[in-house]
Amino acid sequence: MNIDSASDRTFEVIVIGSGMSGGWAAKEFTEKGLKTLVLERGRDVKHNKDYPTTNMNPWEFEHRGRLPLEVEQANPIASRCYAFREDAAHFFVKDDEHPYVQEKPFDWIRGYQVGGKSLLWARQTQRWSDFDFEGPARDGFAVDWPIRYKDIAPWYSYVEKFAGISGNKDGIPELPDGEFLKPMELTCVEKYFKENVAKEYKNRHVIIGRCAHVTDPQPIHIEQGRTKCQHRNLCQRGCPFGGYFSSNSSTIPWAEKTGHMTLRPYSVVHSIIYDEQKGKAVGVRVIDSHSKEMIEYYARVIFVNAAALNTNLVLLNSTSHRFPKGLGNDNGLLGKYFAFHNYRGRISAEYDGFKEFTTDGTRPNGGYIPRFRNVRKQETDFLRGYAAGFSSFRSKDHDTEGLGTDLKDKLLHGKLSNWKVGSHVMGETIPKETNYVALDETKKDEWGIPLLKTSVDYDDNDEKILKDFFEQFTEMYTKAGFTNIKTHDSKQAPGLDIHEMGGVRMGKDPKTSLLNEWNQLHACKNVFVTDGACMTSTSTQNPSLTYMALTARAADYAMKEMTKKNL
Amino acid sequence: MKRRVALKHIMMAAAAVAVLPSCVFEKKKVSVQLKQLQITADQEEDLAEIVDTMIPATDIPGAKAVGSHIFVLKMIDDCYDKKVQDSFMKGLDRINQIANKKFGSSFVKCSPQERTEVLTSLDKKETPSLTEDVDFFPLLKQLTIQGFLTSQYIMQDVQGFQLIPGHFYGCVDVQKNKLS
Repeated sequence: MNIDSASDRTFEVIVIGSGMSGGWAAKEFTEKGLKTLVLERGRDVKHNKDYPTTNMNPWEFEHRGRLPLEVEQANPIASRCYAFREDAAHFFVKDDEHPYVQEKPFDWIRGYQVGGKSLLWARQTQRWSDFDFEGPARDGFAVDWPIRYKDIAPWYSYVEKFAGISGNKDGIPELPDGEFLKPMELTCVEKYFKENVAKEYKNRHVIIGRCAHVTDPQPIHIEQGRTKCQHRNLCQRGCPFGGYFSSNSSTIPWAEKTGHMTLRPYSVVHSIIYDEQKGKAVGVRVIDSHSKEMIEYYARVIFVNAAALNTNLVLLNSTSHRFPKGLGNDNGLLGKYFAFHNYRGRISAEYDGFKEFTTDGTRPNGGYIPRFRNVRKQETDFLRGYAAGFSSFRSKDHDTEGLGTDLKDKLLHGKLSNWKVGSHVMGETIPKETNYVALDETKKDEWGIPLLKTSVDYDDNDEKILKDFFEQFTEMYTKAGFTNIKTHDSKQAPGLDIHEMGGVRMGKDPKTSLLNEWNQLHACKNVFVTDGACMTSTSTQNPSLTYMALTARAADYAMKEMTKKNL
Repeated sequence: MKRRVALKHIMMAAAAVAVLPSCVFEKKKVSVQLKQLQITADQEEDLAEIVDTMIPATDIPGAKAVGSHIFVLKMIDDCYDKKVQDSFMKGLDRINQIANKKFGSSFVKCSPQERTEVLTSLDKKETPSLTEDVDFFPLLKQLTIQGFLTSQYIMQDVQGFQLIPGHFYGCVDVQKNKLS
């Protein structure tokens, strides 16, 4: 790229980040013919070409998936993530690559590459409903969301059709149905539990998870070069079939094909340039991570999709005479009201039935139980509630007693275990001013950018939610006749849920929020934030689908405003 | 990739064996590259016979043929700390000591029955594996089993593993599902 002249460094739109939401921004703008620069701080990862482990058989991994002790010891944070293993470790940021300051323990799991964490996500895509959007206003926390379900519903449909979402139309008001491809199957025990829960409880539902897998490819997926999910359940390696949605398999190559995207890897964004005269942002300062040279790029509109924490970092570091505390930060709330999902609880049990049946194959998905606590009215001594997973399987157990031909025979003829069932909690956390991220006053990273400081913790409400999850699920499991019920609190730090949200929240009032209903900074209208940082509250759904829908919606609005010359 | 390097070494070793006249005296080399463990070719051979005693060849290859001993070495070398590595090395000696005490010869010179007896005494904890805190035998057995069950031969040829095409059926008859 010729970077000598300012005109060569001028675009209509700059998108910071190429992950889940940045990929969508890139797609939307380039599809409409806008010259778009996509900045990615890490390396490029091309679909298929850069999935080195994707076709490897289990025996081809010399440690069968486990990472060498040396790697685990060097990366205590990344190692806590279930997917940081021999087949996908190359898609994770190593602990020493980008340090941060933990005022309170926070596991920051990152993927610095084109596609970001969209390569690694768990692919659950549940819609929000008004029971979620109305939460803060009804229950008196955070601020009221400036949007409602009707504002985002068409955009959910829009992104679902393109991404490919598998699911069943369950007709549950608190978890609206979407544009679903063929659902995956529940097991016999999951179906049994579904019926039992429906019989025992009003408004508790067990459904198959809605997930971003192409179970039934439509022309739009074929056009992206994606084909049917093969149920390999090796998604974290990158999928050669494009069987699940990632920026790499979908939005980024789509944007590339338009000829309007310039993708610039190795570009660490330092800050957004604010022009005091023009009263708006005019571009982005980038540090080339190889040459360490600082380069400025210019555009009419800037989308910040650096992933929640780094989006906060970029805005906090974008200081000017007008915005001494960070871009758009007139009210001092930037970085505050940070939240996440409570993933600490697990419960497992066994079921001594359906012995004549088992499952066949693998399922890159699981059962899902939408939030049933405090949905229609406040009914407990804690705010909000939790969703949960629910899955069952029979394992092939190997009796390893003895030695010799006896042992060998037992190993080759594993015995099917009883059905095992399990659930994990996904609790809503209440955003609070005291849960915040900020710039460290002294420490800087290798590019001279202040380190991010995290100060995020659980509170009493989270403990009560966890207790209730254990109690309610123990009861539900007991009523279903499950035995050997065991609960487990992982005590994991916030962050490991990889659902970090907030800090640049949306709201109606510029005095109490950073972004308006279109994800525009109230005080700097040509800067949009549509990743996890924009979230006013967290609810209980896996958030990526909502980021995608908000991004497509905001990009559409931005283009209309550009046409009207308002931007 | 290290695996390729290891394979290359195996192939080179095989080639060397093929071209060298049998009378040439040369120190035997180990077939796997290790970073921490100091393993001699004799110890590697001991280990191969140990894993093959645990899971012997029948009409289906045993642990030695599918390379469980190489897997054990690789895992101990890369995935465990020095304490475990030391106990593993002492454990190999210990097996020979027990063989000597019981049968007056090294492990590899024991008969198959004698070998089984040596390892069974460790497996059943009739003979303490080590006086130190790390008990090497359960780990050795666990890794041997893992290496065997996750070997290409067992997964692919015996159990029919394939990456694709895949599927998921939530409820199938156990009897009809025997093969998968």
